[in-house]
Amino acid sequence: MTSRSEIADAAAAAAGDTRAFERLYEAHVARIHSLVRRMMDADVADDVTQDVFIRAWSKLGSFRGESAFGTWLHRLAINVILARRKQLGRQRERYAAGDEAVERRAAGPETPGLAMDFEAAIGRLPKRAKEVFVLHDVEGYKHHEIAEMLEISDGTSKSQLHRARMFLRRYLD
Amino acid sequence: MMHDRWTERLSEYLDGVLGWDDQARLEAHIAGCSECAATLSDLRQVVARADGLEDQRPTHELWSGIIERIESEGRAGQKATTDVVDIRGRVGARAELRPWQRRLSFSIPQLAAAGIATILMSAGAAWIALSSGGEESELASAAGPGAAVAANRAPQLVSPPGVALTTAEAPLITKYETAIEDLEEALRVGEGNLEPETIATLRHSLAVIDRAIAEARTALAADPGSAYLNTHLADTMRRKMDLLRYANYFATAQS
Repeated sequence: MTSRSEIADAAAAAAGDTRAFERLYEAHVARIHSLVRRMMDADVADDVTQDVFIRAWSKLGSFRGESAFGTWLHRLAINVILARRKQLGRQRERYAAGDEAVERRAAGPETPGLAMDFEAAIGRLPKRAKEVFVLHDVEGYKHHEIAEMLEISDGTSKSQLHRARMFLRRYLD
Repeated sequence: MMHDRWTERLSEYLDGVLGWDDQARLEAHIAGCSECAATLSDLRQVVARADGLEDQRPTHELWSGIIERIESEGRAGQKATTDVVDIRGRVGARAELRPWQRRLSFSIPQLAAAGIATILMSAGAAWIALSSGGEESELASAAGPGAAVAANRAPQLVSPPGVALTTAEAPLITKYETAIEDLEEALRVGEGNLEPETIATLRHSLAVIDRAIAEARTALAADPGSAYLNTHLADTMRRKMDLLRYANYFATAQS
């Protein structure tokens, strides 16, 4: 789907055309679901993905076509993800121990001789390192952008990224 | 694992965010440190692997849940909202059809017509309010939408439709004015992409809205404390913004 036709679909969806919105959903659901799955736990990915599109529907009026629809939707998805993470709180943050968790889990794949899938390895990262890694290395955001989104310093973003990479190098096959 | 003062900088080096001096020193170090060189190679592979990850669709079907929630929230919103020209409200009004069974399509003239109808209704309500003085509460419900807050008098404020006025919302008018200027400028740039008839209809609609805004401002000058008039002005400006926004959407889409 071209950017031009997406803008037209976004305009139609903003006027209530659910078919146009469904086309946008079809075009972007894989990317959004993958983003959610990587930044959060897989067991909430479906639910949060639905939240993202429902939020997008209600916010379509604020999309002015200044950027690609995918860019706008992606940013909105990150906001939804971060809000959900706060909402979930500490009880769901299994790997919130930060540096210690990285070191503890950096010993390598749990099953000797069986390389862990790289996606699964990302899922084992501590919360903050995972967020920074996904946003920087998968999604292409800069450190200053990540720092703003996550309300951390540039330096923290850089150090978490490095820790995530050092952890993941053990799962390279 | 070997750790030296350069190990922690390898990612920064890889991303090209080290200063020139540090970069030169690190490169000199790597030339003599096989372990750092190997780590750097691994980190490169990690970055490449991340860059090559493919997006995957969810294994479960999610759209039906989305559309159901949109539909149910749309109906709830239709009851709660006070916006006369809420085009999404039409979806709720046709609830006998499933959302995916209908396709709504609105041309600029149709949207403009809806805008005109709104303005005329709102302008009529404003005229009645001005003529009737203290009967704002009744008139508010008669006018529907943005008039629902008319019962309370307040300082010169504006607020979203149907929401009680607060002092925190006073700067809204200024924001709307700025937004309208931006949207008008964008439309000036893009209106060449619209059909001449569409432009003519659009200009006519905008002229009607501008007259309504001017009348609201005049009325407010005489009665600056009227919550109803402030709300009416804000609603009218919002409708102008909506119309301009839709026009810009279509102008961009057709470029």
